[in-house]
Amino acid sequence: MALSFFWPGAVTPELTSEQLYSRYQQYGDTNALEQLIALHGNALYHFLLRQSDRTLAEDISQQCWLKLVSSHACFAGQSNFKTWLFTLARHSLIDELRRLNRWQWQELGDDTACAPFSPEEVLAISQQRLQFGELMMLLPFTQREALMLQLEGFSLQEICQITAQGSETVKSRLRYARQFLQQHSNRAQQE
Amino acid sequence: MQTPEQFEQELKQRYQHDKALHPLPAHIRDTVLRHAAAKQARHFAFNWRNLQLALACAALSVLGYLMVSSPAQQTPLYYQVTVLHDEGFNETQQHSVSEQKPQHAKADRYQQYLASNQHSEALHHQVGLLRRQQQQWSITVCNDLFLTITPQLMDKLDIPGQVHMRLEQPQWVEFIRNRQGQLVAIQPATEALICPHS
Repeated sequence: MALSFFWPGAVTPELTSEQLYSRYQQYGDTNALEQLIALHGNALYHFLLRQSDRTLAEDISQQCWLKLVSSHACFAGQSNFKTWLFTLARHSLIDELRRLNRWQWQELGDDTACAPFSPEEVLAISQQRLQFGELMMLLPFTQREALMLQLEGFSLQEICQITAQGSETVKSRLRYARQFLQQHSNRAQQE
Repeated sequence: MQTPEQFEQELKQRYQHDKALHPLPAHIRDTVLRHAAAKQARHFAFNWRNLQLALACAALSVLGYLMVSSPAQQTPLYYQVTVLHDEGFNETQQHSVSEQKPQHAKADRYQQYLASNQHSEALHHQVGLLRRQQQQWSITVCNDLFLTITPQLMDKLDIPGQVHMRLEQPQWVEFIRNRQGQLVAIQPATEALICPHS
C-alpha cells in the first residue's frame, strides 16, 4: 500500500473490488477502474443483455460505469461493490424501459403464483433447439433476473437487495424458473 | 431424465458459456476509461489552478503587508530645530520631526549656534514648565527659553508614565537634549525652577 501511494499504478491483484473502488475514488487511479471493469464488466453486461437487448445493454452498461467515474453514483459500502453495481444497473434499466414504454407492469405482478407456460406450451418449446439466451427469454422478467443473479453467484439475500423483494418472493421466482427450465430440458431429452 | 443435480450443473455451464459468448464490448470499456482519464486530467488541472491561486494570494498578501508596513518603518524622520528670536524670551526654539530633509543651510546655522554657545554642556539637562498649547507642546525656562514641540515629536520622545498622566496640566519637567541640541527625553523635575526675574 505504501508503494502504491507513491506509484498509484502499482495495484496488486489481490485487492478486493471495494479496495479497488476506494483507490479509484481517492487517487483517481484508472488502473483500479480498469480492474473493476475487468472483474465485473462482462457479468453486468450479460445480465443487462438477457434482461433487454444488445443496444440497451450497451447503453446501460456504459451509463453505470460513467456514473461511477463521474461520482454521480457513489458506493457507500452498505453492501459489497458487485451487489451495489448490479442494483444501480437494474434501476437504470427499469428507468430506461419505463422511458421507452417497454416496461410491462404486469410482469411485476404475482408471477410467482403460476408457471409461465402450460405443459402443452412447454412441449412445443421443447421441440425447438433453443439457445440459452432464447430459453431465458421465455421466462418472465422477474423470474429471469432472479435466476440470472443466482447463476452469477449472488446469495439469496443479495438478490433480495438488488431486486428490492422479500426472500419468499425471490425463492418462489427461482423455483418456478427452474421448474420451467427443467421441464423443457427433460422434454428436449425425450425428443 | 436428468437429476436435479445434473440439471443444475448443466444450467450453470450453459450460463457461463452464454456469458463468455457475450463479453462487454471493448468500445464501452475504452469510452469509460477515456472519460476517467479526462476527469483525472481536469482534476489535476483544477488542483494546479487552485495551488496557483493560493500562491498568488499569499504573494499579494505579503506584498500588501510590506507596502503598508514598510513606509512607517523605513521612511526616515528628520529632526528639525528652528531658532527664533522673540521679544518675550531670549530665545525661542521650534522642535519638530519631518519626513522632509532639512535644508543644509538651516541645519548648519543651528550647529554653528550650538558651537558658539559656551554653555552648551549645561543645556543638556534643563528644568522648565511643560504646557499644552492647542496643537503643540511648549516648555518655558523663565524668560530665557521658549521651546515648542510638535505632537509628532512628543510621540517619539522618551516620556515616563507619571509625566504622561499629568500632561493636561502645566508641570515642571527636566528635559534632556543630546549634543546636537535635540530633545531625547522629558522626565519629572524634582523641584520647580526659580526664575530670578519672575
